Amino acid sequence: MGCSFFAEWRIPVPGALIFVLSMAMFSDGWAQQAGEELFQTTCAACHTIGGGRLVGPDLAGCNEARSQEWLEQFVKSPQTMIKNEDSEAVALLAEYNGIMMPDTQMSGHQIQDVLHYIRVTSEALKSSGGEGATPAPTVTLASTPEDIEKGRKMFFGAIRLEKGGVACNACHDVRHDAIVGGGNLSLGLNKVFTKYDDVTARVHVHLHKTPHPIMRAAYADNPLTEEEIMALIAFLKHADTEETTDSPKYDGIGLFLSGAVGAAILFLFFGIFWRGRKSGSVNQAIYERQVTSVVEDRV
Amino acid sequence: MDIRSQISMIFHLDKCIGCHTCSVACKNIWTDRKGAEYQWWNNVETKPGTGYPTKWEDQDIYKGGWEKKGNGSGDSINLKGAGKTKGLGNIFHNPNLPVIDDYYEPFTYKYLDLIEAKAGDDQPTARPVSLITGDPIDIKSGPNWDDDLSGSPDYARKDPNLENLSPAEQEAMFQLEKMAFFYLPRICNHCLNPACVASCPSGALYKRGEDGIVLVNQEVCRGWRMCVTACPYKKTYYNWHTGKSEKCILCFPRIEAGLAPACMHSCVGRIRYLGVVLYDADKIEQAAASDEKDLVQNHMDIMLDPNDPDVIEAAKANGIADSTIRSAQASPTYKFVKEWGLALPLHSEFRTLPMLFYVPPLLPVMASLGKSDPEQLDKMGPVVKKWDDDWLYDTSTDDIFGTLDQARFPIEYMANLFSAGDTAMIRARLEKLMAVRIYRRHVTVGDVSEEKSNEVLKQAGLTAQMAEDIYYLTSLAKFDDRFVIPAAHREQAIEMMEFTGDKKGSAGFGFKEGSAQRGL
Ligand code: SF4
Ligand code: SF4
Repeated sequence: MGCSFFAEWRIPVPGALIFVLSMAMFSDGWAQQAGEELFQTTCAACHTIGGGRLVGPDLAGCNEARSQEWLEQFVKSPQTMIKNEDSEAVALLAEYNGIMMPDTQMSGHQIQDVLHYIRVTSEALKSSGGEGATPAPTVTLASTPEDIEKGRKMFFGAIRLEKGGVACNACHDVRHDAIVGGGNLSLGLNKVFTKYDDVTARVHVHLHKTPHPIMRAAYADNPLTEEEIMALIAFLKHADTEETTDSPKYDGIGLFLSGAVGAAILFLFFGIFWRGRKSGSVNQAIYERQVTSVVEDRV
Repeated sequence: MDIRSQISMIFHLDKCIGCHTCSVACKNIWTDRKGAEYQWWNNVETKPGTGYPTKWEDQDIYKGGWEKKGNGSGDSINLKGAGKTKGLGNIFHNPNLPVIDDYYEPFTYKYLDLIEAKAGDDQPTARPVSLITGDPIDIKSGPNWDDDLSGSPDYARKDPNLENLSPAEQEAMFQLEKMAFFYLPRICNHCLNPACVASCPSGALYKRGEDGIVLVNQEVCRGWRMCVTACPYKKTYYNWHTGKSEKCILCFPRIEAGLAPACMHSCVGRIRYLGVVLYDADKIEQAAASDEKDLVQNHMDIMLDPNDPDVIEAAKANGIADSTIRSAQASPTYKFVKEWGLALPLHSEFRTLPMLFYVPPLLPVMASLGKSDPEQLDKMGPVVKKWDDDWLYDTSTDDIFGTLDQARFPIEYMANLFSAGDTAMIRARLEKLMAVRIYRRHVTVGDVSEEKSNEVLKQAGLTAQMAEDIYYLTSLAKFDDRFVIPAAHREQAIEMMEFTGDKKGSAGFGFKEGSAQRGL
């Protein structure tokens, strides 16, 4: 008998549920919530809303500054826009030291949700006069020489990353005396601090919750620990500032002279070491006397 | 006693006609390859002469062989130019190597030019071209450039063996009336204390356990060329094409098949003998380090009597096959070296204990025509018998052994070659050779009386039977008398390394793996 009870209600109950849920989904509140989640996971690493510039610009009010269409296009693929020489996109890229926002994997709907969330949040902030905005995080770096050393070793894999992530130099290079032949799959990290206007937090973002899809996938299951991040940052900062001293800069006459002296010492050493060696052929005297005929037509 | 067997050779220098058939046989089989053109695993050189490579005997130049530091009997020996520390120090620059000009630049002729030249006013010629560069060259030298030029100032007079002869003695050797030469065929001696093996930093050289043949493993050789320096006989060669060293392999594939090595098989003068000897490996070190005066004797004392029951028992206990022992009992080498005391090693002062022995050449017998110019006769000295008839071409001498001292090759010269300077040893061998000759003259010509021949034999320490045997083995011996090759017992060697049951009923036995790429 119980079966027939469920059989009778079988269609109406899920149907009602679907209806209610879809109603909720298309409601503003739902969009707001989905947008917030997306913003937190996808955008918040680099952007704030009203909290100030992080890696990318503060997004508060962006809906007023640009058209909805432009925003949608830009979020979808900033790279395409730059390629198409959209003047605003190009200006932005220049403003941000050539740091390009990666193309997103969000769908058109999701982009709209995010933009919706941004608009709602910025309007709320505007009416509250800026109250309640989450400020851009700050990171303070205590870079001790030990940190730098540890970071260096982690960079080229002499110290294993705790969660088993791959060492940085698999993809990146840094010009540093102690590092030979880093990878060139991705950007060189020489001047990364300069690029991010020396703001530690901006570098931190990349190691903590990177916006770059490949790197994110690579470290998804084995993220860096906070301690590792700090050590790596310390090293990158060091590499940035020390970079000039690492490249050989002294190549005057002294270099030449030291080479010449070194060679002289080596030759002296060879001379002593092999002083008793057999030189030339035992038959040399005989050969020298012999009349030759064909030497000149050897080519 | 640690008894082992070694295939050992005799070259009877009186019989060598210097035809180089041996060298050519060897070249055709083994060294007719790129990189090996200049290599003569078998070469024949003229003595007095500088040899091949030039002055190889002069170890001040080439730093080969072993040297003994002190004089005491306890002093050990070290390699002269190679070895652990010297080898390491010189590993990237081996300072005493012979260069190609010490050998010679190998050449051929453009024979095709003779056929393909266009018709013209001139004879077509085949120009010599270098086998290394392919360019036309002037031939500067060859592996026996001084062939038959004994007495030439460039070659004969620079023979390193003349060193401790007085200038007067040297001069006497090169007087036109007295000038003489003989041939010295040389192959690797397959030494008991091989310097080449000791010098190799890669451990590529080894001495085969079953027959003592010294080989270079081509897979292991790394081309350091220490063996080229270390071998005092300059019998390892560097192949510039393969980058590996190579040497005489005593035709081991032929020996395993019961055939004589190609040089011996083809020898026109039938000067070559080969047989197995049993020796005591425990004595090698001590013999190699003995004082120079005892060196030759101690070297020969290492060889044991294959008929001695104790030796046979110890040999069997050491795993030497009965067939090997039997062939040691029939070995011509044992007879020549030990039973008859006729053969000596070449340059034992290099201390490698070479296992190729030479019967020194009997002094050239001066023939004379009777009643010839007395002045001329005087010059010839007492070697020559004065003869009264005018028509006889005579080769006999008046005083049998007395003439040894007036020999055209001073005994010291022979001693420098074959007995580390010990003239008594040479004298004993030459006396025996002469005694056999006199005995045979008595038997066949009859102009020497029986008493005289017996007396001579006695003086030389031979019996008539021995003289007969020497005569037989020197002049009449058949192939199987000259080459007593022990069975190779390959089956045992194979069984040591692999389980042969696998192969039963399939294609057969064998070592062959893949294809031999180096022709070795
Ligand atoms: S003759 Fe030279 S190559 Fe031959 S075994 Fe002796 S040392 Fe080695
Ligand atoms: S083939 Fe015999 S006779 Fe001829 S050169 Fe060689 S060793 Fe002498």
